[in-house]
Amino acid sequence: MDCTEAHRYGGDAVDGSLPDSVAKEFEAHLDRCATCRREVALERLSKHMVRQSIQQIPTPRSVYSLVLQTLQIERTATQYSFLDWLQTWKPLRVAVPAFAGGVIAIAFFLMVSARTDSSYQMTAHTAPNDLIHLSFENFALLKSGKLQPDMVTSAPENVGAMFAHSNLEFGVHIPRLKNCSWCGGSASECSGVKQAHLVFKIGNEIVYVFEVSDADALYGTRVSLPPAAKRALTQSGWYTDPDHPDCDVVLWKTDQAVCVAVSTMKKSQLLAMLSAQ
Amino acid sequence: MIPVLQAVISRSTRKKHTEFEAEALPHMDVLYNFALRTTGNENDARDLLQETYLKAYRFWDKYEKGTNIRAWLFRIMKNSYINRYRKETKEPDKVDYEDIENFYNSIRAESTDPNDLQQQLYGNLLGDEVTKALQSLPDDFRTVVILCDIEGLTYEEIAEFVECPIGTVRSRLHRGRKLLQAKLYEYAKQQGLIKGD
Repeated sequence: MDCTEAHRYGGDAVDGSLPDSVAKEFEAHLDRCATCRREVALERLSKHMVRQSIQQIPTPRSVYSLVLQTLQIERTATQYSFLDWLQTWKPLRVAVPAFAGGVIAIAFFLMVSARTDSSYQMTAHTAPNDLIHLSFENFALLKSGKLQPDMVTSAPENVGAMFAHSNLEFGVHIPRLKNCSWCGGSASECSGVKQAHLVFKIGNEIVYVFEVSDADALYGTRVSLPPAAKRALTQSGWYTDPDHPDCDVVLWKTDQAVCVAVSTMKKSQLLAMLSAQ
Repeated sequence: MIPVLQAVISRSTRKKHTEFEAEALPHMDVLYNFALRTTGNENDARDLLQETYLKAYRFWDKYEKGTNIRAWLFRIMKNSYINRYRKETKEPDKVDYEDIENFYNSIRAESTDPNDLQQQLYGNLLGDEVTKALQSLPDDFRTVVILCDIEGLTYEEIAEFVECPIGTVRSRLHRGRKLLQAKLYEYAKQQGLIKGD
């Protein structure tokens, strides 16, 4: 063993952790080398002095108590911070279940509504030539951009003029709607039925009006209407489906045409607006 | 508050508290002594100990059951000490190796026998001087000297405590002791307790 190696094992020798395998060699080197012997002796002296001079002190009772007290406070604070958090919900112990109940009720209502819508279309107006059914289809096409008016203008009379020059065989009714920012119109023919399409932009709402001749709507066979609708239109000139109050459609009759209005606005609002014209 | 829920929370907190007390409190003496040797005064040692136990309690769920709790507590204390007392010190301690060189050169020149040196130093120095010399050591060196020479931990334990290889522990211990000896020698010489060159 040389001095470098002895130097490496010096600390282990002082701390009594020198491996047996090198202990003899290490001792032999110290016997030969005064420098290494002195180094090890000094390190041992340092350890000895620290050990003798600095005694283990038991934790003072006051410090021990302080730590326990701190832990106890922390324990209480932890427990009560959580309890306090729960307590904040206490005033809402009525509101929260009520709110949850409301949400469930709305969800249930929407679910039922969706079913009602579906049944509505599947029962009352499922016939492909049903005027109300066609109106809904056209309204969907209009919103998707697949049905576009031939003319769009801020003056509704211009649309009237356009229809006057079309080959429609009935007089198209142009509703005078308040706050209409623009309106559009186009004419078409499907299965021999001449049709007029009008669209009105009122604020953020859209009103679509589908018109066919009253001869086709009330007496013809190429388009159909529920008997109750025909009866109401003939008698009063107006019809809204009483079995489906959610159905935003209003029908009315003029001298030559039957008009069906479908809108994004609520049915009552639509009815009020149309009846005020 | 729902009484059942309150009872569950209380029970859970009580269990944690009991576990913590049983496992962590028996090591308070070791920690207190380390805090005392590290900070150098009772007030700071008390604060450091208090902070250590508070943090340990808060992070009790982070402690891996069955591992060395003393090492875990010690690491919390060491980090707390670094955060609390060394916030302003951006650079790690630098060792003044010149002191060590001077010391060894002196005793070589004087051919002082370690046994005589022991007599001279040990016979005349008080515990306070040793404590001061110990506290003046750089943190890393002081830590291993305290853990080995005062607490009597093995190299393996110290390595676990300070999270570094055993080789580093050996090296720090050796240098720490040399530095300590140099400081004491210098002090004794200044006080005229031993003859200098």
